[in-house]
Amino acid sequence: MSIEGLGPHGELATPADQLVITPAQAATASAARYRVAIVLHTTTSDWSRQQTAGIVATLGAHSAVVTEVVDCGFDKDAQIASLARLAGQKLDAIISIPIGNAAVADAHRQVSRAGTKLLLMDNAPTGLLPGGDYVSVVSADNFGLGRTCAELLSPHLAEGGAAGILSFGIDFFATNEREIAFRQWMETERPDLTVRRTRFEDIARAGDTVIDFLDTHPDIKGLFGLWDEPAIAAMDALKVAGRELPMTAVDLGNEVAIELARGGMIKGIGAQQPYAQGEAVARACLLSLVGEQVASWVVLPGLRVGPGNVVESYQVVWHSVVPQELMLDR
Amino acid sequence: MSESRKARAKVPRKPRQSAVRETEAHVDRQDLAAVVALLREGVALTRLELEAETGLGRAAVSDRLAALVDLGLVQEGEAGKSSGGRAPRLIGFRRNAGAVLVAVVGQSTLGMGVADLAGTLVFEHHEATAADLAPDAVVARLVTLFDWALEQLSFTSEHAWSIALSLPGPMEGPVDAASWLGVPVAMQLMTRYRCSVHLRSRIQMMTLGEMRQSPAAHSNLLVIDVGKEINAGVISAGHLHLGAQHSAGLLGHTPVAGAVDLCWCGNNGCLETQVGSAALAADGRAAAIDGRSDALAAVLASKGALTAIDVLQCAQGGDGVAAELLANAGRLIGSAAATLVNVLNPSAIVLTGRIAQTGDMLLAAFRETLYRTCHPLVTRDLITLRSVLGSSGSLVGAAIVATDALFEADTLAGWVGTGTPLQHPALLARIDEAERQRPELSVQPPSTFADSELAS
Repeated sequence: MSIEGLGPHGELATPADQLVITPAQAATASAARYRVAIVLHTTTSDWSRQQTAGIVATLGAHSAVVTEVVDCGFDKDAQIASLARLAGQKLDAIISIPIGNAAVADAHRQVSRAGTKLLLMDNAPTGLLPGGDYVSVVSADNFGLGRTCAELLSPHLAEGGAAGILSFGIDFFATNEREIAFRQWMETERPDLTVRRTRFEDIARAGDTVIDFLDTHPDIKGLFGLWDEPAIAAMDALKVAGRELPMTAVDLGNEVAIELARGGMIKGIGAQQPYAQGEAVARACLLSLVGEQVASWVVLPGLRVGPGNVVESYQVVWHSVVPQELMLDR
Repeated sequence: MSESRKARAKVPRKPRQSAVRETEAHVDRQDLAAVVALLREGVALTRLELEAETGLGRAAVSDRLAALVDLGLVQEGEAGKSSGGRAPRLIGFRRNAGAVLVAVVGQSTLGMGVADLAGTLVFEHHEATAADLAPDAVVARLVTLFDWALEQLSFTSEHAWSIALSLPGPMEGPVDAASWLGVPVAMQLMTRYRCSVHLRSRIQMMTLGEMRQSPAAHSNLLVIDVGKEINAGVISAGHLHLGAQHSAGLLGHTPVAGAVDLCWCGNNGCLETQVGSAALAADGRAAAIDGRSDALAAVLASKGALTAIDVLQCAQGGDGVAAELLANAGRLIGSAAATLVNVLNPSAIVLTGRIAQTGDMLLAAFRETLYRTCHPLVTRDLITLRSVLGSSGSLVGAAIVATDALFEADTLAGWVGTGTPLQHPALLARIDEAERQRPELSVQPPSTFADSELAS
C-alpha cells in the first residue's frame, strides 16, 4: 500500500525502510552504549507489546539498553509526571507516544530542553516542532488506514442508512487522522450514507457506549472502530445484546484477527505494523544519537487485511506462527 | 494683514467639541486595544505592569479591565510574586473564550487548523488534494473539516470568532469579497460561520508565522518559500509588507539572465521557470534520460516519473548531478534574494518549502551567493536558516491574522458594546448584504456531517 497521509506539520512521508544504519554508524552506536527509556499509553495491548519488542530488539542489536518502559494507563497526568522524572535522569533518548495533545506538549518539550533526544510515535503534540522539540515522529499511515477501513466496510453497507464511528474522546493525532480519512472516503464514495459517531474516553465503557449509540440511531448499519481494543469491547457487547453488525477496525490484534478469519462481525482490518514501527523508531533514535539528520515524519504503510489474507498478514504483523483459530481454511 | 486679523491669529483656536470627542474616543480605543494586546501576548500580567507598559493611570487601567472582564476576555486569578508589599493579583487573558479557524489551500495540499485567541494552534490537519479540485469542492471540504474540528474540540460554531484563509495564486486587493476562480469563497464562509473572513497569500501567512517563531530576533525578516512557485515575504520593523495590491512577494518572477522559458505569468525566463520544483523535476528527468545521472535514471525507471523530492534524495545519496541541480537552484535564488537583502537589510532569512527545508545543498549555495554578492554591511550579522515550522508556519501566520483582526482597535471598539465580535454591526451588515445579493451563497453541510455524543 502507498502512503497517503501527511505529517502533523504537513510533511511528506519518508518511508521507514529508508532509515538505514550503515556499518560505520552501527559501530559508533555500539561503542556508545546508549541508554533509552520508552513511555507508552499502555503496555497491555498487542500493539504496544509488538512495538516494545521491535524497539528493544533493534536497540539491543546496537548495544543500547532500554532502561525502563513506562505504562501511563492512558492517563495524561501520569505521562506528564513520568516525563518530568525521566528528563532528570541520565538518558540519551526517550521514545514516547504522547497521550492527548496540547496537555502533554510542555512535558515533552522539557525532555528536549534537558538535552535528551526525543522520538515520538504516532503523534506530535500541537506546538512541538521537529528539530528543536523532537527528532522525528515515526508512525503508521493513519490516514491511509482510515480510508482502508472505509473501503473494507462499504460492501457490507446497503444503500442509504448510516455508518457509525466508535470515536475516541481524547484529542489524539493518530485517531483523528483515521476518522477524518474514513469520513472523507465515505463522503466521496458513498454519499448515500450518513456518517454518525459516538465518543468514549474510557475503553471499559466502549461496549455500553455502542449499545446506547445504536439505540439512539437505529439506522446505523455498520461500525468502524478506531483501534482494536474498543472494537473488541463493542463487538462483545453487541454479541451479548444479540445485535450483530459488520465492523472494520484498525490493528490486527489477536481477537479481531480470529473474528475476521471465522467470518464474524469483523469484515476487514487496516493493520499497523507495530513491530516494524518499533524497529523504525529505534533506528531513527540511533541515527539521531550518532549525529545524523533524521526525517521528521517517518511512516510505515498499513496492511489491507481481509478474510483471504488474514493468515499471512498475521505472520507479517506478529512475526509469529498464527493461532490455530485462524487456520480455518488453510 | 489688518491689525484685527493679526490679533486673531495670535489666539490659539479652540478645537471643535466634536473633534475633541473623536480624539478622546480614538485614544480610548487605542488604550483598550493596547491593554488587550499586552494581556494576549503575556507581556503584562498585573495591573501595575499594565500601568507601566501603557502609561495609563490606575483608574484608566481599572476601567479598561472592567470592560474586558465583562466581555469574558480577562479574569483575575491567583496572587503573583510580591516585590515588597501586597502581592499583586495575576490577570489572565482567557484565550479559550473563542477560537479562530485557519486554512491554507495550496496547489496540491490543504492545511487547516483551529487556534485560540492568543493565536496558538490547538488543532491542525494537513491532507493532499487533487490538483484539479474545483473551488466549490475545496470550500465544501474546508467546511467539513472546520465543523469536525470544532466538534472534536467540543466547540459550537459560535466559538468561531474569525477565519483567516489563503488560496492558491496571487492575492489582489483587500478581501472580504474575494473570488477564487469565480467562487466567492470569503462571502461563502462568512455567511456560513457568520464571522469575519480575512485573506492573505500563503507567503504572507508563512512570514507572519516565522516571525512569531522568534519575534525578538526577526523584526526585520525575509522568508523565501521554494516550491512550484518561489515567493518571498518581508517583515520590516515588525510589520508585514503587503504592497499596493496586497501582492508583494512574487520573487519567482524575477527574470534570470539568458533564460527564455515561458512562465505562467506571461513573461519569459522567470526564476521559478528555472529552479521552481517543476523545473528541478524536469532537469532531473533530463539528466536521467540522457545518462548523466545513474541514480536519477534508476528512480525514473522504478517510479515512471521524477519529482523535485527525488532529485533532493538522490543528491543526499551522493549523486553529483542531482547535487549540482540543487546547488544551481541555491545560487539563482540567492542572486534574486541578494537585491532584497541589499535594499531591505533583514537580520534573518528563513528558507522554507520541502526542497529548501531538507538537506543542506541548496541552503549552502544560497548562503554562499549572498555573501559573495551582497554589500558586506548587510551580511555581516545576517542569519540564514531553514524553517522548522514547515506548512504549520502558514497556519500559525493565519492565526495571527485572524486574532489581530479581532482585537484591532477600531474593530474591538465596534464589538465591545455588543459582547461578541459576531454581533459587530459592520459584520452583520456585510452578512445581510451578502445574503440579500446571493442567498445561494450559504454552503450546505455535506451529507456525512455527523451527530456525536460524548460518553463519559
